[in-house]
Amino acid sequence: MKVKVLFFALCREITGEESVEFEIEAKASVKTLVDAVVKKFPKMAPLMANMVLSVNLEYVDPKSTTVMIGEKDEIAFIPPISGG
Amino acid sequence: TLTTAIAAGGAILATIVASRALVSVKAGQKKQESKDYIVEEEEDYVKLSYDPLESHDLNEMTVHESCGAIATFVGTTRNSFQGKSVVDLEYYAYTKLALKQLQLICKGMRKKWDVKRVVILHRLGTCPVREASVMIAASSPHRKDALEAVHWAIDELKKTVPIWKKERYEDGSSWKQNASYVPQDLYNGAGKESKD
Repeated sequence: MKVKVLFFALCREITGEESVEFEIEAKASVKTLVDAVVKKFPKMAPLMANMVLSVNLEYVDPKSTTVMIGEKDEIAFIPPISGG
Repeated sequence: TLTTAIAAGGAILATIVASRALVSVKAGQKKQESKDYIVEEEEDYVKLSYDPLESHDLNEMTVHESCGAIATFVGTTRNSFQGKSVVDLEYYAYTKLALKQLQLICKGMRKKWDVKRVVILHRLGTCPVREASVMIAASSPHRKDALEAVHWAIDELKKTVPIWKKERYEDGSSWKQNASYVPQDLYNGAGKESKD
């Protein structure tokens, strides 16, 4: 299934992408998707320790094996924030 | 103010006015997106804007006949960070989620304090030195609520809202990270509506 992955700030600079469509298996966990993203963009690997994910506007642990990704979910990689 | 500056005859003032004009031209050439993102829900007003926030009259936006106080926080761009000279800041946001989290902050303020009207504004794009990057205002019948709610709101914003700041120096730039930001807190429920 296809899912849309958004990159912001530092992630955008590192991957060179704002938004990428990923093809992943039908029943994939967040961790599965993250692994696929890091495989495609190896320079993301060192950032993952401080990364948070957003799945359909909810913050999720990038290591989660229990939160599942669905078709047409909007996923975003959230690097350390600095608003305000 | 321009006529006042010229009348004062100060060469220094004239230089300041001239250099501000140069800054404006540069910003114009950058072709920033000028779209605003606004969410207004009952007495909560949340906005992300590429335009200067200074045009907003926070008092007018929050005043209410039932209230005796308005508290305001304004965050402005500082010209230095740890000895390095900062040229300006650039702000980026995951707009949809930022608006959602800002709305949650408004709701959080109401849950904990007796506030009437709440306004949160955040700048996007280039924010020059001295200009406001964020404005938070709240009105309440008595001052303690507004003051405490606004204090809590800016602290929460720095921990939970997906906005990023790039500090730009003469010789490079760096992505900032808020000291209070803890990734685990976000997905363990800090950024969500409180259950109590």
